[in-house]
Amino acid sequence: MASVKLIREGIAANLESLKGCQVSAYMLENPTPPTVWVFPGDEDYDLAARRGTDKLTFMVQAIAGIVTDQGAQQLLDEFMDDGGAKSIKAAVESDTTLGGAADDLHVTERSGYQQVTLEGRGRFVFAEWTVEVYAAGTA
Amino acid sequence: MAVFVLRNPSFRVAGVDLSDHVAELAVNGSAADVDVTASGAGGHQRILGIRDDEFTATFFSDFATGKVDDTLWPNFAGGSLFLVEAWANGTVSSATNPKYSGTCILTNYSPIAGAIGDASQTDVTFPVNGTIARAIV
Repeated sequence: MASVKLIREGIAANLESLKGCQVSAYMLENPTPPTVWVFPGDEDYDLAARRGTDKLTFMVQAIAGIVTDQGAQQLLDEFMDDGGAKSIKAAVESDTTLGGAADDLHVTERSGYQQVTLEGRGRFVFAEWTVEVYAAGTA
Repeated sequence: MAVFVLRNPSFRVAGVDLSDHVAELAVNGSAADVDVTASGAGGHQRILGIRDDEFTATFFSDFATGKVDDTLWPNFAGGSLFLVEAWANGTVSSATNPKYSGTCILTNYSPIAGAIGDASQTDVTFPVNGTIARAIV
């Protein structure tokens, strides 16, 4: 069964290897960056007959810190690396079955730097990753 | 039966139900177009020639026991004839859900075929030894 809850929690569990970050399977009202969270995107149903396969898209956003903080930018660069201890792609793909919640997953895209204003706290720099997940549907 | 969306077809290969790995499915009846036009005819005259039926399917690859490759490879490598069965909806044959079946042989099979980053799929053609049969019970 393609469970959105189990998949986003599985992705978050993979991201727990990123030491020193706040990791959440859900978006937070008051994040304390560096923060990495997961939320669902589009889903393509019925790629195979009999609910055999759905393709779900999930987004991972990493808010590194205040945009003018050089350290935050350096951390975001490490998040963006395709390997290494802080690589978001490597962390998400460390268990591609998410403990059985998915058949497979693939981090397919990453955005560039983006900025968001957190009310009363200033502008923060973040990036986001696209994760394609293949899982059997519910027959 | 009304117009319908193809979402629940069934496809069995050598008795193994591979339906939940099927992304595309086709039952193709075909016959040679034999021209028997005689002198003086105003247009071509045709009769049905030798049939050349086949099933085609696109599978999501799976190498686990009892799945796609484990079913197809032995039949390809062994060169044996095997039964292929297809329905538009489920496996209960009826006048509105006929079963199409044929004895096939695999002459081509590509267990790995695809682009990096795509879901691994393989297109398979099942040439029929003889003709496809249509059954409603």
